Amino acid sequence: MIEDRCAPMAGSAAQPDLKRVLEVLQGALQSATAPEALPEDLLGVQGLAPLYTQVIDLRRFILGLSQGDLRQKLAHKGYLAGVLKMFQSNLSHLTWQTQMLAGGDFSQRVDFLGDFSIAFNSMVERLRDASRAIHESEERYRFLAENSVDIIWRLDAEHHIIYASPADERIRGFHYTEVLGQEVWRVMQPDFVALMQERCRGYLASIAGNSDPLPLRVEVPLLCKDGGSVWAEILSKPVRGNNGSLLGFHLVARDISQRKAYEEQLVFVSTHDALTGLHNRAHFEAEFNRAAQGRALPVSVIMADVDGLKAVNDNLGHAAGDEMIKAAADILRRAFRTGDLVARLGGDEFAVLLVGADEHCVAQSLKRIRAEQKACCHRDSAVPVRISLGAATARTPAELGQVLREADRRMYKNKSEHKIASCARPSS
Amino acid sequence: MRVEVYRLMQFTLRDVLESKFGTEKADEVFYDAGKLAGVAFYKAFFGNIKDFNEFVLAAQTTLRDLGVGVLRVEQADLEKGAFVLAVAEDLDCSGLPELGHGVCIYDEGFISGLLESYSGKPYTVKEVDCWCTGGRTCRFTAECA
Repeated sequence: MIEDRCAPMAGSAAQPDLKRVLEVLQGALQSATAPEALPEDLLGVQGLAPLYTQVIDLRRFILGLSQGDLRQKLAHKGYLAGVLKMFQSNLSHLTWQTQMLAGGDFSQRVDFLGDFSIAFNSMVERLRDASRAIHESEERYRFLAENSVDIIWRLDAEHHIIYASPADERIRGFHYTEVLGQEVWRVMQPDFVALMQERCRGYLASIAGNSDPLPLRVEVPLLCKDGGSVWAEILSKPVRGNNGSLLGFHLVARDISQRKAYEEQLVFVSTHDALTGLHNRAHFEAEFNRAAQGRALPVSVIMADVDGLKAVNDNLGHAAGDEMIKAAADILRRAFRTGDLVARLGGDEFAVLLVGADEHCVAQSLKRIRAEQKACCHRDSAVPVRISLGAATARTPAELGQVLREADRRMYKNKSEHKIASCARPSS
Repeated sequence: MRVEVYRLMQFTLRDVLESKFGTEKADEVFYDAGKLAGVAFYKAFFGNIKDFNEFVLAAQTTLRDLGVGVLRVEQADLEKGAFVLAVAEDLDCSGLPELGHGVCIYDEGFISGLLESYSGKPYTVKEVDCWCTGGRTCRFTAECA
């Protein structure tokens, strides 16, 4: 009892005021502004000062705990201090467990904090399950990525490669360590980079305000380690963070070199004559129309027709006739450069399109044809090849409509001359 | 064996040692005996464990299952080799009245033996709170010597 412990104040006959003692102790327990030290008027009450100090220390300790300070020390012993220290110990252990949990230790369980223990343990189990699910999902996607025949790249927002699947080495020959950190443009043939950057600029602008854009699909030759290239179709999709910010891109590159070869073959077949390898009528007409729409005047056309093909077919067979056509094609091919368009229009009929060539150039071309024809006859006299030729030049757009017909007319005139000359020659 | 019988044996043994050799020597004997037990305990139960968390989990499970106490880690600095550990429901002292001083000297040695066996480094363990000082759980600081 406080009353029993109260003693007369030093040097005073006055009895301690019990009401005052109770008031101060009550203040220490209930008031936020209780003084740190026992008021001077009560210093003389025996045993009160250490009791007051203990209450103040306990107050401070409890306040610290309530504010999350688990490092403070409480020197006092006894039941109340012991209980508080046990609470501190439990919270410290809980903190350590949470740190372990953050480090991936899902074995942590709490069994000393009542309902909180149930909630905490439930949270840990959910985290463990979610972590396991993420891990399994990562494993699954890693397996798919590492075994995909397509190259899979992950880029950062600045277009640097931060992941390359093993297919990159299989297709291009680069180990992933040689690729990581590279700008994605360096995987492409340098000639195509500017074009690709232009296309991507448009795409990047389009995805800026679109959270779920369609993937960008481009076809581009990729650079291989041996210096060659492989055509690839690249599919690109942005990777976004939770707040929608752009984190980077996922790219999938598929080797389409075989398809590209088929396409090139298809284009060749559709624009070339199967027998001679020259361009065909469709391509000649398309190129003539293109020239007609352009500004590259003058435009000249040489029409050529093999003489006596019918007689060769009838007398020596179609195989001999085909050989004659091929020989004629060879004469024309030799007479012109690669850039000139020499075409077989059908049967024994050929045409040459000379964009930017005037009458003088055409005359030189006709001379070259004749020279090649003569050389051919010397090389292989078994089936002599004679070609009738006619040429015309359009110097104005208005003349373009007539140039083919005029060249044709001149060719037939030349053919007639050949027939007359042939008839005039004495038969052997 | 019931807890009371174990404690009766331990405290009477301690009383005799104290009366014959003094408190300091008795403490030394209990600490060393506890350490020996800790080393043997580690060898028997945790010999192959290298990961600290796994070690703690195994120690918690084994000590609880054997009724020695409920081990909790309050702080662990593996680099510095400094720990604060708590043992609730301690076999030696839980429920004992206040004596004004800690009595878990044997536990100090026991924990020291466990940590030394795990880390390969000597540890000094000191009890800072005990049932016998009014605590409701025993707390120990352990520092790499």
